[in-house]
Order: sequence, then C-alpha cells, then structure tokens
Amino acid sequence: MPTLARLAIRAALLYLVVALLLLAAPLVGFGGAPWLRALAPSAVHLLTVGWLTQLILAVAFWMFPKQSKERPRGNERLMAAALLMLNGGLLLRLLFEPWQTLQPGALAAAGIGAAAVLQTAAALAAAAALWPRVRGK
Amino acid sequence: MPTLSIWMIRSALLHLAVGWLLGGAILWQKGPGGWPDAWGWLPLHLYLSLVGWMVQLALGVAYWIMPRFARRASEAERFVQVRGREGMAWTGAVLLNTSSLVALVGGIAAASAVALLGVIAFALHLWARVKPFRVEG
Repeated sequence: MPTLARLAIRAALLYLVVALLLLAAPLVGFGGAPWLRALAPSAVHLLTVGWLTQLILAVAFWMFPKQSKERPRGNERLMAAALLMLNGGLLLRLLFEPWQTLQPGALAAAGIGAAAVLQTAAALAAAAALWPRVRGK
Repeated sequence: MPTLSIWMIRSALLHLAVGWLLGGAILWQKGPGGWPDAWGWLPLHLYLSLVGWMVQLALGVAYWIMPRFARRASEAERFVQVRGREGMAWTGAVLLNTSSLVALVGGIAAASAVALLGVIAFALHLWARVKPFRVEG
C-alpha cells in the first residue's frame, strides 16, 4: 500500500472515531451543551468528508488502474495536495465553525472562509488526479 | 475497468466536484458571507455529494469488482467471463444520473424517487454476483 494511502486511511479512521464520539456525547450528559450543538455540522463532515470520502480517495489512489508505466499512480503530488487540503480544510472547519457559532468574529469568519476554499480545492484536485486512472486496460 | 464503470466513476468524480463547489459556497456564508442565496443550494449539495458521488462510486466499483460468471457458447469454446444482467446495470446508471438533473429542477423528493428506481435496477443486476468466486449461479 503506498505511503500516501496509508496516511490517509489512518487519518480517516481517526476522523471516524472522533465523529462518533461527538455524535455519542449526548449519551453521557453533554446533550444540552452549547459547544456540542455548535459542533454538530462539523461532526457530520468529519464523518462524510474525513472518514468516508478520504477513505474512498485513498483506496482509489491505491487500487485504480495504472496510468502509465512511468507514472503508475499518475500525478501523485496532485493527489497529495488534494488530501492535504481536504484535511487542512476539515481541521480549520472543526476549529472555526463552532467558534463562529458561539462567538462570531472576523478571525473565525476568515478561518471558515479558508476552510471552504481548501475543501472545494481538494475536491477539484482529487477529481483531476483520479480522472486519468478511470480507464480500461 | 469495464465501460459502464468508467462512465459511472467519471460521473461520480464530476458530482464530487460540483457537490463540493456548492458546499464550499454554502460554508463561505457561515464565514465571510456575501451571498445568502447560497443556502438554497444545501439540498442539492447533499444530494450530489451523497447520491451522485458516494452511491454512484460504490455501484460503479461494484460493477467492476464483483465476481463474474463463466459462460461458453459450446463445449468446444473457452469460457469467457460475463457480468450477467448488464442491461439492468446500464438502466440503473442512467436513472441514477438522471436523478441528479431531476434534483436540480424538480426537488430532492422527485430525484430520490428516480434514484430509487435506478438502485432497484442495479440491485437486480448485482444480486446474483454476490457469490463466492468460481461458483456459477
């Protein structure tokens, strides 16, 4: 398994654990906590972006047909950039989205803006990196 | 990778790009803001990301990867690998992608109904392929 895929899959597993911890937190008495409610959209994205999509992208990067003999996994730098932006954007979101909900301000707003740009760019980069490998033999 | 899988996975990557573009625009509103109408894209963002990207990618890969059947025209012929009821799979893929267009103009409920028909068709194709390798069904 290539290093990039290994790192991404391990990160995806961590996101899964954290997402489920947040979603299960009301069971241990945190149900009414304002900070937990503020984290709800981020928790959903930890699950769908951090776990599901990152796992999909990592396995696709590992398993999809080779692009060429010289570059079997295609543009690896582009894929690495995509995963860096995905994780960076998600972590920024995790930090600044609840912050903006509880105490709106310019810094948190800027952080959310950066998160939005990074995650969007991540999707475009990942699609561009994988596209040439979606091919027959 | 077979032709149908190529089409479905490429379509899934396009859904990822468009879905997350919409998502980025929506998240931007929580931060810097400036385009409140973007919130109207939330149902479409959810639909494209969950159905158009994730469900379609899973089905596209399943069509490629799931065990196939060995058939031959006569005793004198060699066995060839076939995928069974391929028409059902193509029908499912067309309906699934059509549902994204329906989501754009007709709403999520109507889109989900079209997607449901597509998924049923695809399941009718895939069901028999859920078998051990080399056991002919």
